[in-house]
Amino acid sequence: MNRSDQMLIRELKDGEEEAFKELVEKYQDKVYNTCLGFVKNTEDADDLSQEVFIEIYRSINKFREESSLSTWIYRITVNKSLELLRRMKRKKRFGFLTGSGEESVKRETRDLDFNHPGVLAENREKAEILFKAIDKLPEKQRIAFTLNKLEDLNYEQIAEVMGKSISSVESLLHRARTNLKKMLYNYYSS
Amino acid sequence: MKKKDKQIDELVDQTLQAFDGIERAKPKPFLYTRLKGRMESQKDSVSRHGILSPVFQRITVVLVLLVLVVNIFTTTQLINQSTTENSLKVEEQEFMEEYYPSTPTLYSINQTTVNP
Repeated sequence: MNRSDQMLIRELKDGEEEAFKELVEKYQDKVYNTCLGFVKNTEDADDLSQEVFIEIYRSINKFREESSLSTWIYRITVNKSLELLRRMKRKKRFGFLTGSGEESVKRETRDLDFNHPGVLAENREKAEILFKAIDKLPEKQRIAFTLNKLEDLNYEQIAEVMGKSISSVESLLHRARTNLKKMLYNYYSS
Repeated sequence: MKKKDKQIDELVDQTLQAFDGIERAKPKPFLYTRLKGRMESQKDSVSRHGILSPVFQRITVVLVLLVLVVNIFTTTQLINQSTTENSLKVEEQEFMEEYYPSTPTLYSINQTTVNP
């Protein structure tokens, strides 16, 4: 952990407002982009980023500094993103009961049209297809692949975030690539 | 056929590389200001609503439902128990009537006459 992060944590634990502002400014890019990679919607990613920072603010005293601040923040972000996706799935499933069916259809249409704002123009169409394929991967493979490809985290960093060994991350990524290849092959050959 | 497969393989590889050179998405401006606003409103909501806050409302609904379920379960158990007891009593009565009829037998009549 670098010195400035250590100081930041100490100040945050002391409840200093300025430290929280500094933390938000320092990590908002990582948090927002990770959220966006999972939820694939800019509004949801913005809302979720706020939830992540609120969670950090509330639980900073529980942070035991066994990992780096960045890893801890990534962990919270991934968990919050997955929580939201599960909530959305549940809502969609019970949409007809709560009368929010129309909303879930709208959301689904929005998700299908998702274009990551950072993707190069010439890759836009293929990125859209790749995002849809990633969605169909098992959860752990999806996390590893997203962190690796979109957040550019190396195996060691992914292993720390996911609480797994480096070899299991390697295996997860290998399986993710194999599955994606299969899915894409079927997509293009149909 | 092989040519088609090769074309598909190329498309698959290109698609897998679609994230190459991806740029960072920019979060909406003033995240901290919006975040502070949200935190303040959450704090206000808790202090204003107290036990009427949505969280407490949900907990109350769950508790009421739990009490209702326990109540229904206990009542059903009691009804079942009393039905079983009643049927046992009826069976017992039928048994008694069959083997120990209430009308005096010859033996009991004799007993009463012998012992004044």
